[in-house]
Amino acid sequence: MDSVLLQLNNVRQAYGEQVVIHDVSLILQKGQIGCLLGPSGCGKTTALRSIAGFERISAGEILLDGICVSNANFCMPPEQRRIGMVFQDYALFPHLDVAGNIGFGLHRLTKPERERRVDEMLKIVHLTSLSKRYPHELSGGQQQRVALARALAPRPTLLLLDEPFSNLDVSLREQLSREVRDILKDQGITAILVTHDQAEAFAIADEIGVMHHGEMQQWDTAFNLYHRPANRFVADFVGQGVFLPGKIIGDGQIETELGVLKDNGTGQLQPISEICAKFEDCMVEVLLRPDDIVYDNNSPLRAIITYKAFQGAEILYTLSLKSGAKVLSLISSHHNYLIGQEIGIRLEIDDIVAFKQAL
Amino acid sequence: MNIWRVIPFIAATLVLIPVGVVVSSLFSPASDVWQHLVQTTLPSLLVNTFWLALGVVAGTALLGISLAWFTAIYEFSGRRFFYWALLLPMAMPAYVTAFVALGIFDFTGPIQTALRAWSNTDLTWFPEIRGRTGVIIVMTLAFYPYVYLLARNAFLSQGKRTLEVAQSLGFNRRQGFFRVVLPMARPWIAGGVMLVLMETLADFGTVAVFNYNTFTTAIYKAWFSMFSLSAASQLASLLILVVFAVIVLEQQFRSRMRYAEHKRTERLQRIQLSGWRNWLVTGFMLSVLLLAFLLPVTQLGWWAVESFTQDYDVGRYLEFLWHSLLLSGLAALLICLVVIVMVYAVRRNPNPVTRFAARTATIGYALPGTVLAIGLYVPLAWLDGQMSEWAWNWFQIEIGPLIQGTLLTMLIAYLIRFMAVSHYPIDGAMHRITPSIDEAAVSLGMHGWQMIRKVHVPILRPGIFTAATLVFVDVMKEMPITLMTRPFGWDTLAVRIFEMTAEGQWEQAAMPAVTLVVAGLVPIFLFMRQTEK
Repeated sequence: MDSVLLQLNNVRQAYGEQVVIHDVSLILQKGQIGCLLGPSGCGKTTALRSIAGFERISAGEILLDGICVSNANFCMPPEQRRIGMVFQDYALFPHLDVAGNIGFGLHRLTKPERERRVDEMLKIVHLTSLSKRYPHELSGGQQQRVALARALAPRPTLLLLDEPFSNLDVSLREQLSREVRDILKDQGITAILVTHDQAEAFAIADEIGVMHHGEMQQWDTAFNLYHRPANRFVADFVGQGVFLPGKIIGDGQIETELGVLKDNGTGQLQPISEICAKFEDCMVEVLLRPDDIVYDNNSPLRAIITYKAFQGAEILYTLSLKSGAKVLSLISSHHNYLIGQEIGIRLEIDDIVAFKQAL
Repeated sequence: MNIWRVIPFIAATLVLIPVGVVVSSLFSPASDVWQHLVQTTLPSLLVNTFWLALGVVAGTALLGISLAWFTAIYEFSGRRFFYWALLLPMAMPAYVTAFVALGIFDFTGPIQTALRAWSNTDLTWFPEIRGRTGVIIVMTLAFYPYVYLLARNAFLSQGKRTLEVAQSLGFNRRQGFFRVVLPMARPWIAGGVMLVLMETLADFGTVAVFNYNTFTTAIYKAWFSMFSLSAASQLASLLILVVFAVIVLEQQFRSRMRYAEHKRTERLQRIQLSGWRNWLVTGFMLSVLLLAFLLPVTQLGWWAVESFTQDYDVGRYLEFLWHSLLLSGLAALLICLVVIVMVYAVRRNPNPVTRFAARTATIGYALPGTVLAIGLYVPLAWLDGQMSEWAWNWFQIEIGPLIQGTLLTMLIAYLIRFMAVSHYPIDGAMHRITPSIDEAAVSLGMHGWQMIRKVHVPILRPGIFTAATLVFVDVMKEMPITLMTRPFGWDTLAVRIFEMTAEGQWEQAAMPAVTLVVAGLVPIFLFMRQTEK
């Protein structure tokens, strides 16, 4: 097991009456990349800025490498925390060239040492040929890389990235996020990033925390967030899916329009006692992801296509069941049907996720 | 539209004529008066101007930057109030601050009188307010808002973020400020300082009140006391060379500012000051505001009230007021019309030559009023001569000068000097009418005048309104042009202030000064309302 680098214990942040984050806790191991994911205004940026030391916290504590850097009464100044930060707008210094920007934080090194480190960083981010350019002469992606190199040059113990790709266009975003992950992993950097884009979070992070209304909803791997969401908000926010009504008919068994779902023993269905006090009349909603419903024209289960979205290799069909309930299904685009046609479907579900039906 | 197209060129020519006239006098043979000036006053003029410029630049930079930094980055008692209140001194014409300062601190003023009574001595130790330091302090208090405003913009848009970057790279706040924030804000600060420098070099009223001889007062005296137009224009030519050096510098900073432009992302939380630091900053802000605005205004109000009790001639005051309003109104109308046409011409013909002409037309703002008055005298006298000759030759009628000594001269001079003031807001509004807006209007079936009336005018209206207000107030406060080109006996508020302060009659100057300050507050409130949106 790696050692813990960053730990937040019940961190709370409030400006007067207004609480921005409530009791946020998380643990990040050395060398891991963490991510705070959530809609805008969920408190993720505030959490990041508290870790950096730009904001004081009102309760709880933040431990960096085993040392308490923030609690209700104390806030170690950011410059003493040995963190690096990549800002959303990059905040490059317009009056310095690329090399000057990257070398800026190396003020404690001698000149030759500094030059060596700058060269090394330029190589890592593939900008050696542009070292004499000024920020306004660079493309968005290049500016991004300069910002990364500048933050990494002083060898921070923790790198913080605030929506680092949000100013880039989509194709560049994917490419660059992969590149950044490679660089971070290669250099063994522990990092934590903030984003509202789950594709980005999935592409880059080892551990992801979904935040909502200033609360940490779930701190987990991407797989678990998708397949084993802790609550309805996470289930809704992460990935696509619909909720199908069902009724609990026994231990680990739910009856739905698409048949009886059985917990296959991996124990993912929450114990029924946690959903309902009694078996009888316990109505639930089962989360069905588009990949849980597969195409099978021999199946007796039929559904009518009401909408289709072509996505290249696959088509995302919206299907209407007999009761009128809608489900989503991701089907290979070899099976190209028209809206209004009826097809056969089958459930193929590993993890059953169910929540008590909202009243 | 072909007539309109030439307007930018006419405007540019108008600006270039006085410049050419003045500069060419540099090469004309030296007159006796000039010889006399070189031997007697010129060295002291140069020294005086140099120290004044240096002192005011240093003072406004120091004051403007520190005020901007605290109001942009920190939270302290009264921050919201000071944030805008520190702009109030912009409403004070520098010459008003100057005569109020003299009135308060001079030998016969309340401070020295009270001290003498209290200490029963002659107060020989009391510093002479009429010296160089006095002028520098007064101008610093009057002009610091230029630096404050520009530096504050720079700090607001990037100060806190830059500080955070520096901190994330291991610098503490103080190091961060001096190593990055200040260097990054340099183009803005320098831009503000250059404006201050231009105002300082162009200033006539303040130095006249203080009897501190600079080029502008020397030009005035050469013309009105020594009656030497050539000496006046030779002095003006030296001044204009300095001013052009400043313009070149300013343009350079401005172009750098464009590259350094920063997108403002989010409002970052201000740093809370507490304890003695809090009160120190608040006290600093309050004392600047007191000295630059609150005290002078209070004193002015006091004098104004006193003057009424001493049988103030309200009829004459109303005459000055009417002259000022009439002149400002006419100037605002004329200038806005010319600038609107000019901006349209550039939009219709966006070629480099037209653009260049429009830009040339706006450098008139840098011409000191005294220089402009001298530079216009010669060509207008020539034109008048030509016209009377022509009238005589063709119709055998004798006509006097048609332009000289009429309001027309003044309006032409104001046009040259204040086109830039209205160009900025009107051009800004015009940029909001993008080509696609025109295309959208055309695609909806509008064209020609209909489009101008239904689409352009509503979009331009706020810009034109701002422009007209700015010009109106600027003309009202303007002193040297008005003084040197007005029809005989045609006094305005500013002229009245000049004449009364020249005789040390502060009370008599108070009522006109209060009027100017009130007028000066209007654009500040407009500006505040605009930036708050």
